[in-house]
Amino acid sequence: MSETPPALAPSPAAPSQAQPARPILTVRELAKAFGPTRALRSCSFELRPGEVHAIVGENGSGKSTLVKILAGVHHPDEGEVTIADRVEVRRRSPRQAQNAGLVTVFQEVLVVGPQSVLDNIWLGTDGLFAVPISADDKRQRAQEALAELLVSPPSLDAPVELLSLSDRQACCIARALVRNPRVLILDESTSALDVATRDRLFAVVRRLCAGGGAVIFISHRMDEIEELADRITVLRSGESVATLKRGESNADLLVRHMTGEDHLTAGVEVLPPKARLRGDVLLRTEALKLHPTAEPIDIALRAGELIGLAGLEGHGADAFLQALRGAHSGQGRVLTGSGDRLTSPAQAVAAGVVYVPRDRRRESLFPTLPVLENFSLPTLRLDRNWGLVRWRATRTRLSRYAEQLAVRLASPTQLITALSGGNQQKIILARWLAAGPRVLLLNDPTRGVDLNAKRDLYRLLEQLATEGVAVVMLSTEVDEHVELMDRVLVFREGSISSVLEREQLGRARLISAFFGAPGGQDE
Amino acid sequence: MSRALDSVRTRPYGIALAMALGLLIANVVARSSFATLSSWPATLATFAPFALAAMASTPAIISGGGGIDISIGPLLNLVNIVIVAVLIPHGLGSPWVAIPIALALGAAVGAVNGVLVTVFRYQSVLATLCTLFVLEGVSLKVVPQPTSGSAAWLTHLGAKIGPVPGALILIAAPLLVWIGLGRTAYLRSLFSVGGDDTASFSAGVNVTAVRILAFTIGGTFAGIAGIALAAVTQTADATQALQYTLPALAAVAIGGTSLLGGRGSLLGSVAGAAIMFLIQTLLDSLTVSDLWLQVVYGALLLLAIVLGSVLSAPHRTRAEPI
Amino acid sequence: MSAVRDELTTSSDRPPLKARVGNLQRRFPLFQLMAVVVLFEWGTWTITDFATKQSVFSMLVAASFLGLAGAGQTIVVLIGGIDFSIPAFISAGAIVMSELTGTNGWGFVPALVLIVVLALALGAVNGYIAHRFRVQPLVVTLGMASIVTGAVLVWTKAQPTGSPPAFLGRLSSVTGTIFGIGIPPIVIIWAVVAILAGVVLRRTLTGRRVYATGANPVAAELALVPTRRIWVGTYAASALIAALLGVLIAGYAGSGNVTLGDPYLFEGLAAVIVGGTAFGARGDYWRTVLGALLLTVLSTVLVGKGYGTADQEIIFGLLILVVVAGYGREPRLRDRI
Repeated sequence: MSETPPALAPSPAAPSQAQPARPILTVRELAKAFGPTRALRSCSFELRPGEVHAIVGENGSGKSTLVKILAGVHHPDEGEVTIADRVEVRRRSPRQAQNAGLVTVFQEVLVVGPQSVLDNIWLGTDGLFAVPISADDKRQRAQEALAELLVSPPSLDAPVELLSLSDRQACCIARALVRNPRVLILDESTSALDVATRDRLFAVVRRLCAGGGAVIFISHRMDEIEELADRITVLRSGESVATLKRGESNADLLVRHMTGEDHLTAGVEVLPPKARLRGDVLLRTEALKLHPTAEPIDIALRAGELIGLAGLEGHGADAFLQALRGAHSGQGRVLTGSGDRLTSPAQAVAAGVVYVPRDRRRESLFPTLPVLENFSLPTLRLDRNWGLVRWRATRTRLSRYAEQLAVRLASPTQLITALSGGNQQKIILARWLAAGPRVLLLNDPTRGVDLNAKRDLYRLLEQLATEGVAVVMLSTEVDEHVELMDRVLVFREGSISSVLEREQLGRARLISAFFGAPGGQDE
Repeated sequence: MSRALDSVRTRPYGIALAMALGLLIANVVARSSFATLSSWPATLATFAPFALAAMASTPAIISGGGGIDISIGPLLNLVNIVIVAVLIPHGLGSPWVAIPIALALGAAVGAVNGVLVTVFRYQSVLATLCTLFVLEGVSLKVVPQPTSGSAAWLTHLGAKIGPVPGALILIAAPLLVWIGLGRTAYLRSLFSVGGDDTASFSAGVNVTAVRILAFTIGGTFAGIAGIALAAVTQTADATQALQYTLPALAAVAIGGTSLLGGRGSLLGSVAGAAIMFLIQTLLDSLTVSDLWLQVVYGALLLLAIVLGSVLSAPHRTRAEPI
Repeated sequence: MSAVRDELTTSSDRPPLKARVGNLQRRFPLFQLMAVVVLFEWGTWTITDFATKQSVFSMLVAASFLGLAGAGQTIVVLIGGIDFSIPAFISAGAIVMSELTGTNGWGFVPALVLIVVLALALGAVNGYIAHRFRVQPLVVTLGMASIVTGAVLVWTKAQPTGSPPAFLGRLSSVTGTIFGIGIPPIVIIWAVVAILAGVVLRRTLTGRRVYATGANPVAAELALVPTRRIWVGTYAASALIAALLGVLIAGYAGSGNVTLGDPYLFEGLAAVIVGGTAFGARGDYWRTVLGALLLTVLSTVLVGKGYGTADQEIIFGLLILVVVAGYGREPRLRDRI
């Protein structure tokens, strides 16, 4: 269990410790439907000054609709939002929400690529023609906000499209900060951040709360919630079902509220390593250099292994994964078990090395196509007869995988966009499993995936490993590495800085490996 | 070398301007009389409607979200028709009356397009396609047969006003407006909306207003183009509606404005139009048979945009085809 | 378990009518179908001789031309592009056929083969340039249109001569027959093309790859779709269809000239859009067929009601807006976040 950071220890000055102060934000019985789908039925909670209030819930619980209503993007059908005693107008715009002091950072990294960091940070603050804040003021405050979040902030004039994903999200957060929010809403904003920036963000959160503001924090990550939240409200099926105080809750209790069942998701049944055959070498690298000045990498990946790739963003984990899939253009080689060199992704797939991309929306989903086609596209030739596709064969294949992966489909021809994030990811996974891989490469597959779906995925990966597949998974969630992996390769500065075997894996040890520091304390 | 590439990236019209300049020099070399000052007003007057059409097509494209305005051609032709065949014959031919009416007509049609695209959420191509049909029909109703009409101020605009070629004033007008807009928050908002409208909306930008204004500004520039056309032809001909539509889009693309929105400049569109215009005059001077013009045109258009893309491509991952 | 979360519908209520219709409309072009029927009925009841065999065949022939002009545009729009060189290929096909067979004495088949080869090659260049250099297809096809038109002008010294073989004229005539059946052959040709297009798009690997490329080019590439080949092939097909249409139109008009294809750009595009195919993998050729029928019936009704060209154009534009309003509008910005 992580220690409570000193900053959160109750201090006499903090208003939340005295009688419950007048709430800074009250949400009362909010309801919203999109056509036939009732995203929110009755959501109510209060936000007190100085508190970090976490909102948890599975995909489909109404979290993102709640956020969008608070942000002014959607209008509620019923219910009210009150900010410091003033009931908000129902048909608000994002601009009005911000003017009322309610600022949101969305899960999507919403930046305007060609424009500069400075313009992105101040996006939306000007009128149609008027510029209320002077250029110098803008520069200064933007600089301050960025410095609070990033160790080495980018130049204010750099076009945002040249920045890493983590830095771009930092710009979005800076955008919220320069508006001096009274209430800051962070919607899964940490998923795009690297560990260093995330910690600095938490420090900012504490600063805001100490100053009398409040933060609504939405996350799937239990460790973050445990670290930050004063109170936690659980949403289930569009309703707020419980509000728990820090200390009253634990992961199991939260999950029970979220799923409404006695669905205690204990740890995955981890087979001891001996029970899994570490088979032949399926893939290995030979003097692979991820960039010209990095150390060469020589690693062998065996059948039946679950290997994790970890490290801060940009330090090589992603580049290594790209190399393994056949997309490497620098020095060194990637070879299959039988000695063939991988020169292209298409050849890699033919050799049984299959890759599941990170950004589902951008790199995997075909939004206008049904689930059936999203599943079958790379393997459609298997269903061909005289040049024509026999969809019935495809449907049969799909239902086999859907069952194995616990995805219940209303119909295989429904659009894939109608599924939750977790189920979408399962279909994408099925897409690649259908190709019969011997090596499965996964790039952060559980991002934006709810808890139950995550557990399902873990079980599946375990099973695949038992069947002799080599599974290589890049993950930005430390707990995943600790729970699942036989080995974790930690990347720093473009090369492998340490290899941690299962026995050595622990949260603190792993995180310090990111920074190159000798191991920290673990339970 | 990468510094040069960087500057091209931040100023996409740079290549176009350079090419235009190169062509200008080539023209002078091919026919030294090209450079004589006395021929410039006429040359510019012929060039002006095209350059203005290109400028008028630009704001809608920059505003992104598939934004495009293919009704610019018929719109400028209609303005021309209104001036030559309606206002002048009815005694309303004074510049103090005709010019505001021309601008107002252009702005109104532009605003209608903007509302169709933002409030009613029609795809830009479709909405402006419909406006194109309507404007063509209206033009045909007003002048079933080509007519002509003249006014002194139009003749001056087509030649010189004092020492300055009239066409230069017309071409400079939108550029000055654009510079003025650049001093306000508007241009920045326009590029934000064009770059990513969901990001802009969620951050508090009034996307609807920005886009409607973009189409309105484009329409107003089309009004100026109509004045320029009237100045140089002094005839009203409904069949000329589509003359500028497609070449204007080509000019915008050559000038470095991305059809995806969020990147580009008005200056680039003028440069693009200049490139196309100067190619034609160059071929004329070299007495290359007129028949080859189209071929050369097309080939050079392809070359220009391929070159522009190769030289100014930002960092794109290999997995991104388009 | 978690799969229950997928459908948050209100208990066992069936979705309201509006949503069900919207869903159905996404899959079948209901509005367009209704509009065609309504317009045709209106014409039948209010215009004399509207529904005679001659009149209906006449409409079908016109719709065939329009529909074929929209065929290439449909598949190109499906992959997220657009083709502004269709008019140029139409005109070129007409002129080349007329010149070769009429003036130069070539046989029909050799001339046809040449046209096919050239169209495929030049169309392929369109797709290649657009994909390889990541430049907007609108501009690439504009450039190609110029080149094609120019090349033809140079070749014919701006005086296209000759007429195509007489049987081509019979193919596209309203009174033509095919295998003894009294239906204008071009309508049959159109039907065959439509069926082929439907099968290829829906039931072949290539067709599904076309949709994937349009829906998400990045994901398609990662899913091993050879997107460059798809772009090259699609644009080649578009040019081919346009050129062959030009050959047919030459038969209809008796000769070729460079402006023959011009009306088909915006009208063809209108047929595609009115039919409901949108940029990026939404739609199919049957929608364009409906779109072409819709526009043809509409303009026939207008002519029958005595509206001149000018009025027709205006009503055309306005009515398209009205018809598309029901199904062709973009989602709200707030719903895209």
